[in-house]
Amino acid sequence: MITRRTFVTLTFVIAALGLTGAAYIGWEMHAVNAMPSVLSHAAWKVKFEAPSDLARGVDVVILATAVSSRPGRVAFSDNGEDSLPFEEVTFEVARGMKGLKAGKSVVVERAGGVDYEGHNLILDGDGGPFEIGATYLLFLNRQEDGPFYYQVNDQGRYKIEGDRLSAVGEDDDPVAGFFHGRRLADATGLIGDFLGRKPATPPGQ
Amino acid sequence: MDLKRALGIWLAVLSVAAVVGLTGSTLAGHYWYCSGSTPWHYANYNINWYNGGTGDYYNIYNEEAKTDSTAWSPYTDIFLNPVSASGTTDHANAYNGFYGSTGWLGIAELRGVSGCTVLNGRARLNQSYLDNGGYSRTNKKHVACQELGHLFGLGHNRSSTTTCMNDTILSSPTPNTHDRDLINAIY
Repeated sequence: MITRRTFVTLTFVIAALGLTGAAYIGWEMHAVNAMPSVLSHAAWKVKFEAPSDLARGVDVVILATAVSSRPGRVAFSDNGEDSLPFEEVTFEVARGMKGLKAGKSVVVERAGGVDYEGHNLILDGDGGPFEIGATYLLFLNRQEDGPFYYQVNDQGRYKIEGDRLSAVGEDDDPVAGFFHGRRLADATGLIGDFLGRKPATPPGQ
Repeated sequence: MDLKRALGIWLAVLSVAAVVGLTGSTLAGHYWYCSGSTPWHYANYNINWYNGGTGDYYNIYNEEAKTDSTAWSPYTDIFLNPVSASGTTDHANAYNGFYGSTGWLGIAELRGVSGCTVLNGRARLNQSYLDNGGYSRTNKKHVACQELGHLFGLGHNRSSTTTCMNDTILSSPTPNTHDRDLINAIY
């Protein structure tokens, strides 16, 4: 038997311990997962709620290797003071799942590079500069006003590390979270299912 | 009260407290992190504000920064000091332009930093999309509000539909009390 006073006191102590302990654990977990030193954030034109929506909602889904990068156009703000450089990254398509076939080249334009003021502008809201030689699972759209393609958003890029996918999106993103860490073979199979057909096989297989 | 019953109640209290605590810590994690649990931030609450917007984008930036009742400057502890030219020290610079088919409606960049201190932040609104007829003034204000919030240290927040920091909607062109609390905790 315990007294009512002891019971109430201990109940408050336990509640306080639970609150502070859980809050601390949650905070530390978030801090560990937080992406360090991100220097840009974008409000994307479209965000997808599910991986199937992403696969169906873009023009192109490919597994491709970045082979080269070159400076592209420079855009200016309406008042002429602000410049935004772009770079053009050429990819060789290793496997086409939608919109492009294996063996083709594709140029992806993204913001970044040396700007009008001479600064090397590294924008990483989309995952940052592509690594030449690295292979990515890409979800792209065709430009409405240009000859190239663009990464649909931060859900649209997954670097292949070993046989697994590495996302660039945020921790709580349902699409990036779905693909991140998944085996490439599983991901391409699922994308084929989302698109209602089996993914194309690479040349020679 | 017998001990067995008390233990049952305490276990329930501990469980509820743990859930509430975890939820609270998750909600608190809407900063734009620099390193570990340290968010990006200006040196202090007094930030030079350069509005390089043109046409109605000038008004939109001004409303979100200074004149709306929930604009960042009066609504939070931040004070935005209007200046007539862009700068690289303690400056938030805002622009709009036709940046093309980039995939983004707006972007916020930290152009100059020292440690986790922002020296020069830049916001851009992409008229190539925003002026194509598919976006209302409210949508444009939402994006402007979000880019400014990023510059001041906030990340995206998909837990609430009442904040412009939600990047999955475009219909809430205002920070909410949670954003204000986060900002005020920095500055």
